[in-house]
Amino acid sequence: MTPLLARISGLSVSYRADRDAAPALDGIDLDIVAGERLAIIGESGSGKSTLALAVAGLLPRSAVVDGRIDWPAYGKAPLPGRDYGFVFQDAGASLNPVLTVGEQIAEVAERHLGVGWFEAFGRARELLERVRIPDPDAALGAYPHQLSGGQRQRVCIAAAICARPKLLIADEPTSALDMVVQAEIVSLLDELVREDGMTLLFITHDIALASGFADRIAVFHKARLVEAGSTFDTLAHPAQPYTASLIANHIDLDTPPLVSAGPA
Amino acid sequence: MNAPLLSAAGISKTYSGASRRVAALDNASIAVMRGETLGLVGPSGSGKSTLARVLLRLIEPDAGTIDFDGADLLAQRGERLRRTRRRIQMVFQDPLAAFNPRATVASALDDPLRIHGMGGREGRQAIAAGLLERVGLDPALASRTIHEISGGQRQRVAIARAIATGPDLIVLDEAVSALDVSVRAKILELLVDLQREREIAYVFVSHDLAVVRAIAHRVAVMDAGRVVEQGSASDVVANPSSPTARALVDAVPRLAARPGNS
Amino acid sequence: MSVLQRLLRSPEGAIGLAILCLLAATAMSAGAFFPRDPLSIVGPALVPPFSDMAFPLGTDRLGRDVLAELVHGSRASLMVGIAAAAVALVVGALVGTLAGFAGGLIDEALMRIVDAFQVVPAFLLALAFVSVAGASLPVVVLAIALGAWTAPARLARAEVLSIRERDYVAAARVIGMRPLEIALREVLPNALAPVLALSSVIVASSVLIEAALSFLGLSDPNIVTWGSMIAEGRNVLRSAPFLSIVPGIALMLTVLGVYLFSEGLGQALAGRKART
Repeated sequence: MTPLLARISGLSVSYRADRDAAPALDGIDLDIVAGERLAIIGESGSGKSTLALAVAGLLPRSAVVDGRIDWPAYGKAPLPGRDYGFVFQDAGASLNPVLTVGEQIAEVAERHLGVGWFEAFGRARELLERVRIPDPDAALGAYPHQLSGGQRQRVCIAAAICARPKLLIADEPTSALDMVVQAEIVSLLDELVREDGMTLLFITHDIALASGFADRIAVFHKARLVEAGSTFDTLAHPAQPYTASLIANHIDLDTPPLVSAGPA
Repeated sequence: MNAPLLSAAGISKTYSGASRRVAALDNASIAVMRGETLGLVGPSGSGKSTLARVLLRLIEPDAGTIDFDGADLLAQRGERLRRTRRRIQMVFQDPLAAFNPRATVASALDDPLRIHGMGGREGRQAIAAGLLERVGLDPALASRTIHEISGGQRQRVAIARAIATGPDLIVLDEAVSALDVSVRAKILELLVDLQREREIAYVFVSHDLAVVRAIAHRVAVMDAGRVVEQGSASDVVANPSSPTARALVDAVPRLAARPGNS
Repeated sequence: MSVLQRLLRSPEGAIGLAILCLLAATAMSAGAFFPRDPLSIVGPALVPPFSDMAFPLGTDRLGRDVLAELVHGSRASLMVGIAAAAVALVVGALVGTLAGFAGGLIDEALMRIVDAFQVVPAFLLALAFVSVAGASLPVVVLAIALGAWTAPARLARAEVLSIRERDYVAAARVIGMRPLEIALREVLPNALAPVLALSSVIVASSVLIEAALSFLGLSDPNIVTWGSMIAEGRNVLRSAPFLSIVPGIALMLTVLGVYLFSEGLGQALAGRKART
């Protein structure tokens, strides 16, 4: 048995602002195994993003949290940036518009790797190359608005893995991007995680996207964990009707067309 | 073969920024037959949304011609254009942004009917109730504000608004991209039903080739403001000839396994 | 929760609303409590405040009741302030909406006119207008509005420029709505919230400009205003400073009330926005 990175037990979260409203998460039990790629799948309102924030310890102060998350691999709550990296959906909003890309990545390196500014910039350049930004030297001095959406997300990934964290949390990192860029970003994440032996927590609404590279998937619906299991087993033998409906409603190139060849 | 319902030829549009000129559309041409769905696919920045808005006269092109049912669409002004508008409608990506924040379901449906003089006040209410029922909503929702209903319901109201004036063509700009998969499947079904029933043509703009293949008869692939490939949906998916189409086909995520055929 | 409830929950909003209600009640009941012309002479001159219960706030140089003058003066101050602000807001919002919505040459022309008005200090503009057109209540209102409509015009234009690009405006064009209806029904109501937030600042500054004009004698001589009371008291500032201080305090309270109210209203509206 591989070691456990985190154990989520009985986790419930509700946002205090609307106390009468349904909780965002309701009694979640889930293990994150070290080195696995775990996909959290859910539609809007499923609580999947709340789970990502809870694991990262980034819930707003007003949230009411019940249950616990243990970190056997760290022995304490992990430190953002150093112990885990976080990639948000909106790369544009998670980068500082008045700092250059190089400064933002180097800042992480300087803080968590204990290196000097010069060395940190070297690390930033190396990372930009790793996330396959074309012309990394030019990108170092570029401001976020000068990059495309896909390139900004690459920069965010570079900053997230800068301090060589054990865990990478990606919350819908591709849903603001078009499909071609999405495929590139997903394969990049997959490659980085493999090479560095990181654990990946990948939050998405797209079950097919997750099935392309995740070892395990956990399906969320209306604040509850519906089922979790190995990707292949869950897709081939969904235990719950909700999972089956997600699979049935998925549209890919094997789905029979809704219209016949010629116009009606 | 009949003449197309709408044909746009040689459409170009250039935006001049402070430092550079960007060609959003570069000599793009498409045609849509009556009752047909044309899928418009491409990566972001390919010009597909700009072309869609040109068809609606929301953006004026620098060059090109658009023929709509035998008339020159780009030459129309004022009242003449307003009469044509009743026949070309649009559904937007974000249904919340597509309605006035103060609108109720009733007022959103009443606007197009009132503007085009379709019925008196009570007649319009009856038409609106019928529209809501047609798109699968409870007519009692009419008194709610757009804020109070769910995303899927909002998109149904948007579709009801689009079909209110009995259009021949509806431009759908990423109309299902922001919806949950279960909601998306039902909206696509609704669109297909409405097309069969009313012979409406669709221009279906999306970055998702799989969804386009499911709903479109023909596909036009765009890149850098140009139409780089056109053909029947199944042909383009099976034998993409342009690198753009190839990349779009490859980018579609596939389920690693399916129930029943493991 | 309604905006009013949220407004009352914030201390600024509650205090501001209380002050404004008190002022409005005072202005409206002036005729009932002091039916006599406030400018008539009722007693000995220069009675100090709190010495004679017939004249709680004393009398002025000519033996007129300061309290009666103060209460009647609140009418002029409030009326001029609110009327001037209303004129400025309506004109400003319409001009700004038109400029932002029409764009091009109309926008350029309108905004240059706004510039022309903005380079002249509002008070000088009002002063010049009143000295030419003569001092009467409508002229004073117009004179103050003349210097106040530019800020709402600019703000409305900026809002309209952003709203013009929203999908729901495109949707209105697609269903064939006429440009004027789009401007007035789709754009203007949604551009109004920040412009209305500006209204309190305009009311407050209008009250002050009105007082300043009266102080200089540029107001209707047959109407008591707080500004003319302060001016009147200036002649005996050393021997009876209360004649200037009492209306000064009233003026300060009014401006304070308006500011607190707008602060509370801003918070209440922001709260509503955050919720949706």
